[in-house]
Amino acid sequence: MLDLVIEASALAFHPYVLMYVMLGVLLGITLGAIPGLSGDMAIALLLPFVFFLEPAMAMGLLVGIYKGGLFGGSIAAISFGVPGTPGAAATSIDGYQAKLKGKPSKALHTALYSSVIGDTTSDLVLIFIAVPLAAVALSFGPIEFFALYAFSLMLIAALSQGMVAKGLAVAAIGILLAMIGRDPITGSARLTFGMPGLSGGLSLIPVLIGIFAISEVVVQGAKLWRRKVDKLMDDVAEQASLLQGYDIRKDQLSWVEFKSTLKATYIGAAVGTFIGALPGAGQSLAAFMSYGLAQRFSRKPEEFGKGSLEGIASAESGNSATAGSTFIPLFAFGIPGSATAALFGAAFILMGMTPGPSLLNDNTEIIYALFFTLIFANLVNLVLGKVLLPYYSRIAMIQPGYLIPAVFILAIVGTYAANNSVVDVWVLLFAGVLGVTLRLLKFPLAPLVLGFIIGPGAERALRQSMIMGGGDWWVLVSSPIAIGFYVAAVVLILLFTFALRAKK
Amino acid sequence: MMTPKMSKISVAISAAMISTAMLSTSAAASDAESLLGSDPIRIVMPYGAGGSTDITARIIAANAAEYCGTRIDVVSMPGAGGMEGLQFVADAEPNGHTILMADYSATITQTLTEDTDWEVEDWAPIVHLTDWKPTVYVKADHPIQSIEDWIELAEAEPNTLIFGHADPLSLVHLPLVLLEMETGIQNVHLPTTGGGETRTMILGGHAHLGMTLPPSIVSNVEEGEVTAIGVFADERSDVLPDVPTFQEAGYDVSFEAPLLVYTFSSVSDEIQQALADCIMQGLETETAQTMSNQASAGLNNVQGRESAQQIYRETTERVQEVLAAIEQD
Amino acid sequence: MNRTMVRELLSVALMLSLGVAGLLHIQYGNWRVAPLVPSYIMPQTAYYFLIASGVWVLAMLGLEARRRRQGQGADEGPAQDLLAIGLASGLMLGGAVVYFWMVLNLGLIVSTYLYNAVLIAVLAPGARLKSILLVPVLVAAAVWVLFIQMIGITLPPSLLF
Repeated sequence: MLDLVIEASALAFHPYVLMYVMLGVLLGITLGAIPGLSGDMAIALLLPFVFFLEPAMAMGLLVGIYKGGLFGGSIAAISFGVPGTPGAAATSIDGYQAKLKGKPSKALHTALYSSVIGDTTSDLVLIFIAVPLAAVALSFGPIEFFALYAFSLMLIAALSQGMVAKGLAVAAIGILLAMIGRDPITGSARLTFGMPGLSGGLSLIPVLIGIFAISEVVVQGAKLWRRKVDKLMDDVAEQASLLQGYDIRKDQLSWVEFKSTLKATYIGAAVGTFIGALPGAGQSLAAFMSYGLAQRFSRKPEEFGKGSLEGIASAESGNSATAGSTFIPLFAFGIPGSATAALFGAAFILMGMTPGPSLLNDNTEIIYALFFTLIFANLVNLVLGKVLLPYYSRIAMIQPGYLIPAVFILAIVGTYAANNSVVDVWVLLFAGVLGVTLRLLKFPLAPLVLGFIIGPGAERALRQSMIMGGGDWWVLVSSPIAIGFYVAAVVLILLFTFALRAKK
Repeated sequence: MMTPKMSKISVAISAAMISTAMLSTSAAASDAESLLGSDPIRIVMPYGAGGSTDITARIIAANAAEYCGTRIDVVSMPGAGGMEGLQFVADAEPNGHTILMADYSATITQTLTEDTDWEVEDWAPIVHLTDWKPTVYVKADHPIQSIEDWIELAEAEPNTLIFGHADPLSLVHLPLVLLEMETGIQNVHLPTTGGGETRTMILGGHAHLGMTLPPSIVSNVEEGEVTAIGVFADERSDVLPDVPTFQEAGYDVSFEAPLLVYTFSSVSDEIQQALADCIMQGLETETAQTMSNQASAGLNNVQGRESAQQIYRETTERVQEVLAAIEQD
Repeated sequence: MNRTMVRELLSVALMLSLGVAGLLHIQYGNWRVAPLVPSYIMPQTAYYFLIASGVWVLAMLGLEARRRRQGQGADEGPAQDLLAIGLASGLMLGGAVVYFWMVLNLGLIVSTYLYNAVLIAVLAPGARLKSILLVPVLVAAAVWVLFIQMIGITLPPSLLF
């Protein structure tokens, strides 16, 4: 055992490997920060080169990109309100509010620390208890998944405080948007209104960025235009830009503040690790669920949505905590649980290692080296993030008159580049119109996105369950795990209702 | 202020990436070069990144560039169920710089069943890369352990066995439809999101049988977690040599799925030939073969245009027959 | 009738009309037959939820209106300035359609430069001609490096750069 650890660490801490990890993290943070692009894309681009590198180096590069990308998404989410990656959508709710209140540095640091803590937790779970957790993940069939999705939807209903009805309504709109395209069971097109471009459905990235970011950017644009008109009319002295009034020294995250976010971070780490291990559930669901639960258990739930650091910490930790556990099904059974895991699986295959149960036995050293690299990449992420953050918080404070057009254009081109899809750009703009309308009518936006994310999964799970049960609705409560979820949902909603009553 | 900061980082990165890319393209020239010019060639793949097709496309990109005289990029366009990828290739200038790589689900089945701008004949297959052999498998501790067990149980209790497969009418579903027509057995068809989900369902005991392509279950078969019971092909699969074909078991159902590289038919004959030649040359190299073996991509018997066109015609006929038979039901 | 009331009534109208239109579409639309559960099961549930939420909000509004007859001033949200919102939506969302059409036909870099300049000219308070002309150069350069050099974006062949 000791020999193995020494050999593996010799592999993992080779200077070249370290260099590749750092290069990867840098690349990942930068790509993640651009709306629409994510680490996944860079990994796909680099796949052929993996063959020409030593496995340890290749792994270092890919792991670095992946982890950097997970955190990088939160930079754009906080700085511009544009989630750089789907996983960062929940982060943008509080992160962007915190930035508007002149606290970009606090927000970014909270995101960085919670991201690293969540990620590390998840990696440790991968290393030490992958096999038992994988067994749990396998017992999730369609019936259990449907219960999980129903549970998440109940949670969002409870999440939109004070306007539960409107929250439910937008969640329904989100589900409807997700239904556009091919029916997963019969394969026929539906709700496409005769447009062939819609037959594959709306992709996540344009809907997400359109709803959250484009609508926000348009509202900001409106404010700017109003200010410009006022200025032309009154000819008042030029308004000081935000940057001039911004003092980064007053915007440091204090120890007390950091400690106050820890509970939310742990909740995120636990939820993210669990959701990450379920094949197909995904980062965004993990982030939103962590956010909802952290709000339930927070001492100051009323601050959520208004720039709460706890909100940032829970979302970001939940998002990043999928990083390690998403490999659990891949290592245990060779099942890629996410797009990232599928790409890593492809990289393993190109390096001559078959993902699956034999992976660890046949390639013990390199897998242990990968474990070291996973942990080490978190350190690199922390350090590089720390070094870069002061610059990023300054960027966030550039005069909006110049920043907003640039962000808008980057969002459009980035969305196109993510899938090379023209349809996606039109979807992005349509989602922007929808987002502006819903904002004007004061609908909460988060439930819509969650509805959109879990809609297809929920539908597929429901219909698969029904097919398996021969059309009998009772099949939905035929599993103890599913019953557990339904009970938990009812308990949470009751708890929440009474807690709210008590406060009033 | 943002701009100089970002570009500094990205210049460094792009420099690194470009120099790596140069290493792989700088060498040799060939007659393909004069015909094709120096613009990059794009292999459009109408699937998500990371799957078996993606790996194969990237093996081509890494090895054929040298012989085609220019860089080869792999572009993943899964949008609109893959239709966006086909549309992009169909709309591209017919200079051979935008080519398609796909199995028959995209070019034949979807073209026949959906309303598209092109016909099946508009796709000109130029390279026949490999044949995928749809394989039926079960969990290792399931009472069904052979084709005979399956048919027997399905005949005794029709519509109780749950059969997981990816998209309806895809290459891992049509063979099942054919077999049911041949034998009269009935199974519950459970569509999944793909091979990964099918395998989760088999391993978790949620579905009884599943269909997939051999490379994706080799490791689970070797570990004794699942048993592959039969292959829908004329011959056994190289990677699963112990698994019988359905023909061996006495059922005349075989439906291999050729993986082809296509150009749109408006591309000139010379360019089609030049592309076919340089891709085949690239795949014959030792590096390409090693990559293929490691990935179980099966690129050891790559065939040119004639074979590709013939297999394309045959597959089209078969798909038409099956679709017509389904219509009648 | 204050602004909040109008807004809520509009929301209700949106929810109810969407829900009812959807149900009609299910009733009269062309849906392929699916095994065991109809293909529209999920959309149908969503429409029911929309209608139920609409009714719920309407009920709340009725209660609210009765409770405080005297009424209070409208809360001025950030998005109340409809003229500004309309103009920004038109310029940014409508402009983006033109912009992306130009990207596809004219070329990424040229279009990016032009559109960015237009946005700055209209939006930035106190922008001088110099910054209207120069800042877009930086943005276009960043787009070039990121998307063309690093990522190798796949665009149809275009007229200009």
